[in-house]
Amino acid sequence: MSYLLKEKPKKLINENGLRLDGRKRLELRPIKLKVGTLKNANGSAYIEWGRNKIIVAVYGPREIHPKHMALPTEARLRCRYSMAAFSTPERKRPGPDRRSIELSKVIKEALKPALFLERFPKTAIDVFIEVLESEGGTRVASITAASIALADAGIPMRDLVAACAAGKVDGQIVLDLNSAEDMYGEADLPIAMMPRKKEITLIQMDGKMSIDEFNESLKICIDACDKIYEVQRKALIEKFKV
Amino acid sequence: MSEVVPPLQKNYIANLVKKGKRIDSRKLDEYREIKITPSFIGNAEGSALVELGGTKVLVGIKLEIGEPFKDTPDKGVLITNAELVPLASPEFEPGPPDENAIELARVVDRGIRESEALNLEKMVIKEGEHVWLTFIDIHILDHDGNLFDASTIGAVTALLTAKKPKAYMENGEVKIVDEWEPLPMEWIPASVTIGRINEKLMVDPNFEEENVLDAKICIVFDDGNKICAIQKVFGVLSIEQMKEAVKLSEKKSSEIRQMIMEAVKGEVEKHEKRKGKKQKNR
Amino acid sequence: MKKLKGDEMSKYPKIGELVVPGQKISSIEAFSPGKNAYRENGYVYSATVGNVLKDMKKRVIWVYPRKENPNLTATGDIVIGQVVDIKEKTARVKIIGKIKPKRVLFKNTFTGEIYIANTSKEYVESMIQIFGVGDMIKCKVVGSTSYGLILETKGENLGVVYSKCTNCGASLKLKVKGKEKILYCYGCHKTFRGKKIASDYGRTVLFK
Repeated sequence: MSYLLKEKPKKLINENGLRLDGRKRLELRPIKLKVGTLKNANGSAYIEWGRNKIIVAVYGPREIHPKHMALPTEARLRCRYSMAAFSTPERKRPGPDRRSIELSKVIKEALKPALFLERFPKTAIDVFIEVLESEGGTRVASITAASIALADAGIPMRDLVAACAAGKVDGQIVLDLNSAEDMYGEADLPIAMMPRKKEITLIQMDGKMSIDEFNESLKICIDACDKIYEVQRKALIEKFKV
Repeated sequence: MSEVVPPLQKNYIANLVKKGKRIDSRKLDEYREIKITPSFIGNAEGSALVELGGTKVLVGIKLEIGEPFKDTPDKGVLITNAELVPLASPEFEPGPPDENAIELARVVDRGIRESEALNLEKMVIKEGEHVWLTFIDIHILDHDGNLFDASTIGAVTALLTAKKPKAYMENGEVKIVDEWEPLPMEWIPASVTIGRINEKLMVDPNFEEENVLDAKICIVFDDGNKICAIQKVFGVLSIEQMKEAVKLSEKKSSEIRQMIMEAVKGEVEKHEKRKGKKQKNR
Repeated sequence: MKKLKGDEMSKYPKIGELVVPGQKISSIEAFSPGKNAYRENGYVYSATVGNVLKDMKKRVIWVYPRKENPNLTATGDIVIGQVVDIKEKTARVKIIGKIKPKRVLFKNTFTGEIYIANTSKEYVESMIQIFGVGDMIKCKVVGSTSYGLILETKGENLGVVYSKCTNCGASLKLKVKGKEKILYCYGCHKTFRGKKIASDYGRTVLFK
């Protein structure tokens, strides 16, 4: 379905302040979060964030292979972000590319501060992220789901990690960019944080923004992360109540 | 791991099977519950999520325009690829497809290709120059045994629900119009995997059973009751057992085919709606 | 110890309440953190998904986990593994599951090591005499080192639970001759003596 509508739409936000998918400026896409969807994994989670569909599995702590990868004082956290061939409008060639290798790294760094890795020296904790369908903002959705999968695996954590993106589109600051806004907008600012202490564990930006705009984006992101944290908490309580 | 567990478990499972029982209290010729969710992925031209007991398989169809193979200029191209993604099982490792993934992809491919389910001659835009490339991507999400059947069900369902835009030649260029039509599907193949423990045959072995099987064979039938592909995965079968397996799989394949038909009924309508919404999004 | 007033109490989860990681469960003056809890900046937080429990005598608050990670083994657990390598004084074991306190088949194997002094209450001349490569053994976890878990097979119920004939590959059957327990191969009529055999040889089911 990639052959049509390739050119940039004239306006990403219409005169009524509504975006292409009918959302308001500071509106999140609907988020559905399910805990423990896979049988084999120690912990797992499935998230539907707008049309993003992502499944996350956690294995471990388990013996590390090859052995020389083991760290003497803490567990090694390993992340693998990968996109299914049919997840994007154009078919993506299977296997890791430079983008997914970078995303794996930043997602790992986003989750690491929340874990008590020092309790499991010389082991590995593996987080596998499979993007089944993507519509912009897969990294924040992945982090949100991965932290739930880690909790589901019974791995001790300091806090959950909630993530969300803000950005600048048609000169306005908007929350939670979809793929068209990501592609044609002016700036994109994904943020992950531990909501309790408001500690940011991931921040990236591309595009152009003034300092005021950045501050506003940051603020709406933090508010959104609190909302997402509630979704995460509810999903966990839902799964484990009685 | 799987090579260590069998001795402790094999006797237990074999004794049950001898009495006609299974560890998950199924009958020997009974499938686990099959749940088919067609059109799961909006970005794909066709897709299906198949849950066969604990096994979860997602299949997506992507279409591209490209050149035909030199030796078949009058036919579209069908490419099947399987990913045993490491989140599905502790035994799957990241990296390029291993022999199991390639075998799985090739068995699914063979079932569809040999049954001529997809009429590749109708997937041509201009002979020798431009044809549709059909990519079948199989994603294993959770491994609880019998990946062959789940993947074939998924691939066939996805192909049945897939839509392609109309394309024609104009001044030597390919033009695509926003008119969608289903793929030229002519047959509906269904595969049945059969396992053997000692003298007994069983359909749809789950993960624990697969670990202790003496032999495993996968048989694909089309809806004209013709065998279109067979793959013996491992082990040996006697001639009698082979005959029994074929009989058993003929019966089971028609049941599976009915389930696929049930699942894709009314999908056409939904697809139209979704497509409309998607274009509004862009 | 500071006594909490009513309204201050109600800020924190009640006993038995389900909490998530990072949720504040007490102030440090009232309780000190126990299992699955940690302290930070004067408060106690939960480290897992579970129910809050309090030990009023010791003034300890802890969280009973709703899903314990099955991969973690503690001292005293009984595990099952396969002998993969034998040296004169040690044997290396690939641990595939645990049967006490819970029957779990691990999703991944762990490495364990057993020293000759920990194999039996009787004197053992050599490791080769009591175990064979490929034997499935039941053992107790007594500690862990950087290398892996340290195991022990002292006691009646610990030792080999499944073994194959080194000659023909058939599984060996247990025969009791008076006080002596031997393993016998019905395929090639060979007898294996001197192994450290568990009392439930051949009857252990790892998981059902």
